[in-house]
Formats: sequence, C-alpha cells, structure tokens
Amino acid sequence: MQRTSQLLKAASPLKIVEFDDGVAVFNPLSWDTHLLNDSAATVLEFLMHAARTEDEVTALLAEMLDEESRSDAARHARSVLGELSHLRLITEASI
Amino acid sequence: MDKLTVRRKLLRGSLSAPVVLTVASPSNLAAASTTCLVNTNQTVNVPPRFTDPTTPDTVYVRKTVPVVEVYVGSNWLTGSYYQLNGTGTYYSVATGASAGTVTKTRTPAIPQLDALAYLDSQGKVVGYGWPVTNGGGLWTSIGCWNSLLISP
Repeated sequence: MQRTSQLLKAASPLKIVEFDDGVAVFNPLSWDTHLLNDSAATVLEFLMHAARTEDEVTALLAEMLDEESRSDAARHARSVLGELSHLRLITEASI
Repeated sequence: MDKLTVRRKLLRGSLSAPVVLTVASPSNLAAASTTCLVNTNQTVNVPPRFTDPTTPDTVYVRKTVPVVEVYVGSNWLTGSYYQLNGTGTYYSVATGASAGTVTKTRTPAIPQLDALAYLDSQGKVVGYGWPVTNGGGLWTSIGCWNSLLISP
C-alpha cells in the first residue's frame, strides 16, 4: 500500500502517561499497553493534533532525529507508522 | 505555543530512532490461552471429588462463588461448602466431597471464594476449579490461577 499521500491520524480514545524518556499508551480497543520512546511518542502526538501524510512524518523525523538517524528518516517514518498502524494506535483519516 | 511545539523545540535533533514496545498483559494472555488448563487436565490424575469438566477444552471463566458452613447430622462440618447450580447439594471446597443432607447453613468468615467456573456449550456451570495445594484442589496450575487473578 502506498502510504505517502494517505492521511493518517491517531486512534481514539488512547490513554497516555508520560515518562522521562517516553510514554506509555493504553489502547482500550485492544486492552494492550505500549511503550513508546521519545521519537515514536512525538510521531503519535503529531498525528493526534491533525491527520498527516507519511511525507509529513518523514519531515518531522528529519527535524527531530539525531545526526546518526536523520538520513534514515524516511525509513524510520515508514517503519514506525507501520508499527503504530499494526497496533491500531493510528488509523487512516477519512477526508 | 502549544505543548507539542515546545516539545519539538526541546528535542529537535536529539532523538534516536523510533521504538514501540508492547507490554504483555498476564490476564489477557491467560484469557486467550487454553494451554495451561488443558495441560493441567492432561497431567493431573483427576480426583473424583470434584464435578468434572466433560472435556479438556471446556470453556472456563473466573467467578466468585458463595460458600457456607453446613450442619449435617448433629455437627457443623469443618471447612467451606458450595452449591453447584442451586441443586441443594453442597460440596466441600477442600475435598469436593458431597456434604450429605444439610439441615442448616451459616455464613463463614470468608463468605465467597474466587474459582474457575467451567461452562458447557450451553453456558451452564459444570464444575469449579481451585489451584492445587497441599490441602486439595485440582484442575488449575498455580501459574494459570495467578494470571487469572490479575483482572484488568
């Protein structure tokens, strides 16, 4: 599935608890709790504010990641969006 | 400036690759698993004292079971007793044995116990299970029992 133009948004309702270096997210639909590090949490928060495309998430990660990871921002964006989607923490946004 | 914007300014250029982990929920695992009870059924010699589930894959749920002390003959029997489906027959929690003819009951200090209730295909309770201990009990391994006690 080509995701670059697809709009994605955070699923709701999610229960989120912040820690020093990440967040715990409880998904009441699956009854699962997930631990997200800071960058994954930033992506989820980004998608909670508005529906975004994969390209926008890639741009976000390119801004946020450290020098070592920045060049792989697109790969990281695709990977984390796939993971969040698989866990039903994000969904496709209806236009 | 909203919280996300502040966070992004603070963390800009400092984050490592995204990582998402899932915390395993013991109660969910137990609820989704038939393995532990099936294994227990297959490895334990089933004492005749409890009402037996008819098949190893009988559906089971956690249930609070009211228990009483029973008066039989001219004595209060030791231990707690439960009824199965309101039949009037009382069974010992410790041994599974029928109490016989009960003429009166009274409420013990602990008036109810958590048990695994085994259901048939019609949803009718066909037996109860408690963890195996020195004092009795059967069907349920300690690990399976403990995981079911952790309710969401």
